Amino acid sequence: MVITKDVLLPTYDELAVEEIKLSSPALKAAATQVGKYCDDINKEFMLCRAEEKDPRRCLKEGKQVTECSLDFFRKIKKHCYRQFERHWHCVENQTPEMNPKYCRRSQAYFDHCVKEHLGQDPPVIGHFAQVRIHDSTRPKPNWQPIREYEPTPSLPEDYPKPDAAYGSRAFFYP
Amino acid sequence: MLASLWTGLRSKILLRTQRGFFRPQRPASSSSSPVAYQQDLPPTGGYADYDWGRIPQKPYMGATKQFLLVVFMTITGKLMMELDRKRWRGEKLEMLDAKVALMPMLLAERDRLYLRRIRRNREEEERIMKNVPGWEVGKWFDEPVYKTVPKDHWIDPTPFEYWVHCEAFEFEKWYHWWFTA
Repeated sequence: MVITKDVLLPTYDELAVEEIKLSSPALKAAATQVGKYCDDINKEFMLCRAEEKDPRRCLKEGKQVTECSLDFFRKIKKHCYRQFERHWHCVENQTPEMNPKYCRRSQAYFDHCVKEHLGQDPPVIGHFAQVRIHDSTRPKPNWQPIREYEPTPSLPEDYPKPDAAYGSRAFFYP
Repeated sequence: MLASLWTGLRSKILLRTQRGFFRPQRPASSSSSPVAYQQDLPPTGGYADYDWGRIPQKPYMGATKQFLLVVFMTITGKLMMELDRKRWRGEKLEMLDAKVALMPMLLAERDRLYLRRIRRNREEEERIMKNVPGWEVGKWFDEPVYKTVPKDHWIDPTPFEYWVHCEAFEFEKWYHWWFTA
């Protein structure tokens, strides 16, 4: 291991969070809805990850992401359990890659229920695939170079460069 | 009784051999009328002349028609292909959308797992190497692996270092799904 005692690692208690215990069809079926529900928090987390390049510094944001997603799924369980179950069963059973293209009917029921109870429209197709701008209050990390190297010394411009005393050593092109 | 059976069988066999056992027997009645004999001949006036000339196939479509058909088929195919490509692009975009939307959630969970395992690895190394004099955790005895980085600088461990202290079944279960940060 390259992790020495000087590296501060979070304790197990700091890492213990209630995780989302859902299988991939359920996650995939609600992916765009939960992505829109937690849009700002998700963007904040991803920006932190991209900027800091250090998993320890984005734990708070990550916890917020998980909490928000968990909140969404709890609301779904409370209000739209039947519609969501029908939709993710369909997504699971129709195609191995969990494509929702054969599940438009159940998806429409699910979206309608989400609109009714959470007041959220389904996002347009391509909403997450486009470039989106995010304004963050978190300060930008100031990356310092690890070590400053001195410039390599070179000869002065007017240093005398006479011809070789006994001619060139090249045979064909003297 | 056996003797009488044998004599009867013997007389029948003898009769058959005299007549010819395997040859077809002449029919019993021979009162048939003779059929009129006729020689097989060409029809009256002779056979028709054989046509030795070439008979070309009748063309069912001219060159212009064929050319126009090809042009029509090409244009129609292109248009249909465009429609299909449009549909496929939409489907791909939808799947990509779902992936991108889920990514923060999955990465947040993965980061916590990652840090937990790294901490566990460090504690395990401390436990294993506690009887070795002069050993410091994360170093080669007292020599650090990275010398120019600051103290609390984060460097992702390599996959081997990450998986080194886990059980074999755990590694086999998870390393397909694992990726570096």
